[in-house]
Amino acid sequence: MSEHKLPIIQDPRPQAGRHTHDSDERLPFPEGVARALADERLQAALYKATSAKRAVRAEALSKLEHAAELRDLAATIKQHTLDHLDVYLERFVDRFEANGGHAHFARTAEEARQIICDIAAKHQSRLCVKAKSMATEEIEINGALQAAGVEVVETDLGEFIVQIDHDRPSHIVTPIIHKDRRTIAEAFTRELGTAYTEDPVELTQLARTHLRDIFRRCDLGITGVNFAVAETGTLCLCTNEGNGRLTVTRPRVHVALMGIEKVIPRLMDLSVFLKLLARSGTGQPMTCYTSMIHGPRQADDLDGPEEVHVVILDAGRSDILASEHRAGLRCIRCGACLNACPVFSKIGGHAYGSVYPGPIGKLITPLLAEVEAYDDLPQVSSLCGLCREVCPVGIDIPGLLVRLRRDQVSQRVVTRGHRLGFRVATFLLNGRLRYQAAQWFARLALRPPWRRARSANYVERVPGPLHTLTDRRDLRVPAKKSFRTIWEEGLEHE
Amino acid sequence: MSDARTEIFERIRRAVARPAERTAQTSMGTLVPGKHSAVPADGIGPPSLPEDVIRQSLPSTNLVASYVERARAVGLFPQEVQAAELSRHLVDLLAEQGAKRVLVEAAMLTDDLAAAAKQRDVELVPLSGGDPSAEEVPDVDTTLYACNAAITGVDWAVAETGSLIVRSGASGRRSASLIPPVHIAVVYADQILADLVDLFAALTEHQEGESETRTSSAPTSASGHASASASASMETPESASSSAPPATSAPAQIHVITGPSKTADIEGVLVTGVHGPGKVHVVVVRE
Repeated sequence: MSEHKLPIIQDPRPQAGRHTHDSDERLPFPEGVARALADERLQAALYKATSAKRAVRAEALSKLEHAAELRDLAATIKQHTLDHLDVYLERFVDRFEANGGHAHFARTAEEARQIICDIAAKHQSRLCVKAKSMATEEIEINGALQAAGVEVVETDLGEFIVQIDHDRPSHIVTPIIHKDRRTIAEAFTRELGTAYTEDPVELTQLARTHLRDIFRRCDLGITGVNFAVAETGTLCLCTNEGNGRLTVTRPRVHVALMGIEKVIPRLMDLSVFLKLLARSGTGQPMTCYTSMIHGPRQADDLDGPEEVHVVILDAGRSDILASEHRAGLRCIRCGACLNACPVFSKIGGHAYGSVYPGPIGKLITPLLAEVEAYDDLPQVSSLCGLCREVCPVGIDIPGLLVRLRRDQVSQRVVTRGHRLGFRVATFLLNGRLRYQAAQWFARLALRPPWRRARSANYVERVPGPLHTLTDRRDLRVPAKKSFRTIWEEGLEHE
Repeated sequence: MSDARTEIFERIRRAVARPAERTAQTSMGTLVPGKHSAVPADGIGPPSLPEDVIRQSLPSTNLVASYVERARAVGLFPQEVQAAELSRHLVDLLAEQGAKRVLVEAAMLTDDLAAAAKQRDVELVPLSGGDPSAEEVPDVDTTLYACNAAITGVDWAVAETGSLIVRSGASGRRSASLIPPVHIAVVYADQILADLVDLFAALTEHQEGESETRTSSAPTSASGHASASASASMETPESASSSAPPATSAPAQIHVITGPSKTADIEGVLVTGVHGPGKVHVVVVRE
């Protein structure tokens, strides 16, 4: 495939400050793609990471007994919970409050930020530690807390590196999938003033030492939530590094942010989800740490936070619940669809310009968004179905994307040229003679006699008004003979 | 923020087409703790969870052998010892790690262990003071960060995944299993559950205990062991379980530990000991 027709960005690496959450404008998708494709280090890192993750997932699931039934069960439980979300969410909140926790509701990201800032203010928090959480990325809590005078430190190693490098995460499970060790080593030396090393073990130790001190001094901890159990009012967190455990153990106050869709009915349902989550995401049988939080520190506890808050976020989710895309809310954020996706594997997470990248991101981002900035995302899919194949909760992402495209057509989001093109195509495809005439013309145009000798397989640029066909992709040259012709010739041979 | 609460519930009810007054009345069907596989006659009822689907088979009929195999697979270092050799074995492990100052969960600190440690010049620091009225209780924070290793009991272990389960509480094992660079967990053979399914059944029962205040001794071995391991009587966990009061409330937190602290964030290279212990030894005590 040729890349030369795409504008090549001078510096494909994100510039410091450019991606800070509050200030940035989303890069138009084609530009994001061009930037990603031009970045050789990114290409190498993505290729290595996504192919490895695909392999370990396949291996882990092949060793899981009744994997297909478990995935069906997980899908059914999630769908059932969504179908009765009012009941389960209310029960969860009741139980969580009965356990001594505080529940808050946020209609919008803005309200969620306000609630968390109020909690920080009430406790005069100065130093906040954060465990990895996509929901907190979504509401962009860091900027709000910093504006309120609270220092926020990301403690997941990947997120910590993202933070010190003024970057943003590009994957919902492995946030620095786009970075190689050189980039990381440079960031450590530049931002932490440590001696230059590219050794992952040494880099990790440097981060551990740096963050240990932060954990001793912090007074507020913020996490996301993997599952919220209605039956018991329990928050379940799945982490690998231990920073999640430190975040819910060390600070005086723990605030967990969850979307309304995180609820599951029973503790026992965890035996289904935990068997699938880590296997799908990282190929582990379980994440190293699965933490179940029932409430604040108890009378004779030696450690633990004095207050536990949960902030329950809507921010567009109830609209998805009401729509025919409800199944999209089943997502347990394992990241398998990102690793499986041929588009993500090539362009990485940043090109999407959204908090949630990859197949699931293409689906939920335009649905969650209040503005129309993400209207192009549903188009960015070949609908190959690999995402659906790996999804542990059976979300038919391609099917839902097609519906989303249909909605866009009916809402006149697509361009006039696009519309006209499809009208012409519909006309041509609706009659045998018309279709054959079109084929004949296309073959003549794309395989003109004077080009045949070169036997090119792709046409890189179509002139005239049809140039949009080749703006973003090469066009495959039609076969010398149509299938119909070959078929008929074959019959003659018989 | 009650406005937001009302409005969000209103929007959810509209989405799932349920009138407001019915939400509170709708029975959650099978949400009776512990009864996870029956389909309810009334109410909405979540899907039943067939045992033959959610349970995995184990590599061996022997739970200890299965546990050891799986624990090793997730990067823990399991070893089996006889009860009589426990103290000597623990001290050997500490010496191997070069640990000089070791945090020990109070219940784990037997005279036997103290004597063995003294011989090898290892300082044992009790995490929770045995006598709560004593002024000597060391500052948890300083102790935690100053020690090279920690020895704790566990509440359960799960053979299916090789996991260790620690609950928050007076034992202090929530932090002790997390902060020092080496964690040594002592697991009694009869604390090993076969599957995550058994863990959640045991935990659900604890929740039930909370609301119904069970007074009789725990009917399943699992909840009995939880008390046993929290008790100081290490030699006879069985007798301890019957004398210790049954757990009457759920702990603040429960942590399932399935491997050392690890990351593969940097180019997919596996590194252990990111924030938690890089090395976790499991000493499985056979009766």
